[in-house]
Parts: sequence; C-alpha cells; structure tokens
Amino acid sequence: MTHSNAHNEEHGHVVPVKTFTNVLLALLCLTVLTVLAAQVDIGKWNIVGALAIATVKASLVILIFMHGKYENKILWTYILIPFVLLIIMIGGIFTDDPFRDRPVHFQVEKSR
Amino acid sequence: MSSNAAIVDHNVPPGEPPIIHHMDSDTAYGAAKLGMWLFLATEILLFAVMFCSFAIMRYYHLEEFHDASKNLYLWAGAFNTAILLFSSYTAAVAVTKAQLGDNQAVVKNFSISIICGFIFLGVKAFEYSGKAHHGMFPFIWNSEFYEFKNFLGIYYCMTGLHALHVIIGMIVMYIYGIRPALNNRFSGKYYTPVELSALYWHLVDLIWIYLFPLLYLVG
Repeated sequence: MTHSNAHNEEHGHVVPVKTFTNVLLALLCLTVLTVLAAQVDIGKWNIVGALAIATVKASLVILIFMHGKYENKILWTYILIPFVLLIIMIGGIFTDDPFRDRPVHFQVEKSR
Repeated sequence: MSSNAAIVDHNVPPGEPPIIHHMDSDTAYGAAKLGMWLFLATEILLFAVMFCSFAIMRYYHLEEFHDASKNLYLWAGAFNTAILLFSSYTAAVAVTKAQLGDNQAVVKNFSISIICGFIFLGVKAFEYSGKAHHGMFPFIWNSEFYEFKNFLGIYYCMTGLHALHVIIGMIVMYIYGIRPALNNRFSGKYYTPVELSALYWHLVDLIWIYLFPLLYLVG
C-alpha cells in the first residue's frame, strides 16, 4: 500500500449549515427578482438580464452548494471545460448558420 | 495478493473508508470527485446541445417563442424552481452532516430532497396534462397549436430530459445516500457517496436554473 504525502485527517472542507441557509435565501430572492424583471418589457435586454441573474444563481450553487470554492485547480479545469465548450458551440452556430445560403426550399423564414 | 482479490474491499467497520489495494483513502476520495465532475461535464454538454438548439430556434422563430411561452404556467415554473432550490439546499446540508458523522441527519435531509423531487415531478405532470388537454402536443400536424410546434418540441425535449435526470437523481440519493446511512456507513473519514450523489442533485438544480427563465419568462 502506497502512501501519498496528503494530509491524514479529514479530507474536504466542512461548510457550516448557516452558510447554506444564507445561500438558499439569496437564491430564492434572485428567483423573485428574475420573475419581476421579466414583467418589464425591455426588448432583447430581457433575455440578457434573465441569463445574467441565472448565471449569478448558478455560480452560487457551484461555489457553495457544490463546494467549488474549496476545490483545487485541477478540479476547476473540469468544472470550466463544459462551459467553454458551450460558448464555442453557440458561437460557432451563430457565426455560421444565419449566414448560410440555403436552397430555397430549405430556407427558414425569420419571423421578426 | 491472489489474483482474484477484490480491488475494493467494502467489508470494513461503519465509518471507515473501503480498502482499495492500489491507493490510500485520500487519493481515492480525490479521484472519485474528479471522476464525478468529469461525468457532470458530459451531462452539462448533453444539455448544452439542447440549449444551442433552443438558441438557434429562438433566433429564427422569435415571435412564435414569445407567444408560445405565454401559454406556460408561470406560477408552476416558479414554484418548481423554489422546490428544487430547497431540495438542493437539503442535499448540501446532508453532505455537511455526513462529514460530521450524523447519519440520521443524512437520511432526513436526503429524504426531504427526494420528497421535493416527487413534488417537482407532480407539478410537471400537472403541467404536461394541462398542455395535452389543450392539444398542445409536439409534432402534431393538425393541432390548433400547430403554429407553436417549434417551441413545444424544444419545451417537451428539454423538460422531459430534465425530468428524467430528476428521477435518476432521486434513485441515486436513495441507493448511495439513504440506504448506507441507515447502516451508519458515513463519518468524517468516509462520506464520498453522499457528496457525489449531492453533486448530481445540484446539477439537476443547476440545469433548471437556466431552463426556468428561458422557457417560462423570456421565451
């Protein structure tokens, strides 16, 4: 049996329950905020605002609920890779698909 | 060591980590968590494809998406968001309790999470049946809601796949969290299954955090 030079006591970080309670309250407030913000029509900024609030909520969940705040760099690479790939994928689609010359019977009618 | 010796020996006293012949328990804990996050990355990418198709469909059918999303019950979506956030909270608390060796609290908190999962699915079933009652099916050619076909197709695909993950998460929390905790399996030295199943449940919550505003609010 090999032994790494890792510490031998408890591994991982114990987050107090009170921290989770505060984060839950913040998440619920942000949910109310996102519902209220959607009632105001500010055109295309509605979706930007909604996604911004959702990203703040997602960050709270990853950092505190999922213990992301206490993880090392290798794990953070794993956490960030799918989001980087998602951005590349969406960027790739939107710089390509809307500018394509399609045969007439394949053309998608843009409604607005 | 004989050739048929178990790689992982689970016959240990309660609270002790299983004996793994090729690594110590700290390494095993780190490796398990890394593997779980790699799996979660593939799950996020699975949903990423759906978010991409949502984005491109919304780009081409903006008016349809605006009108169709008004047909969803906003209060049901908001209620489900709150329910999932709360269940995520109890799952996170369960991890802390497992680290402190309080197995009964793990059972209690994971049970609350699973009950919240059932409530979520119940509300979702209510929404689906309401839609079906009004003839809002995806891919039905002669429905009066044919004009909403693109939105409804995306809506059913995304929420359906998400609901499947809710069901899987509930099963995972029962098998790897509640059942061992009933046998006092967890302690500060060994709580990996609790943390990993909680991570999965948080992922389910994470996806819904994006689904709710996209489908119900901005359309």
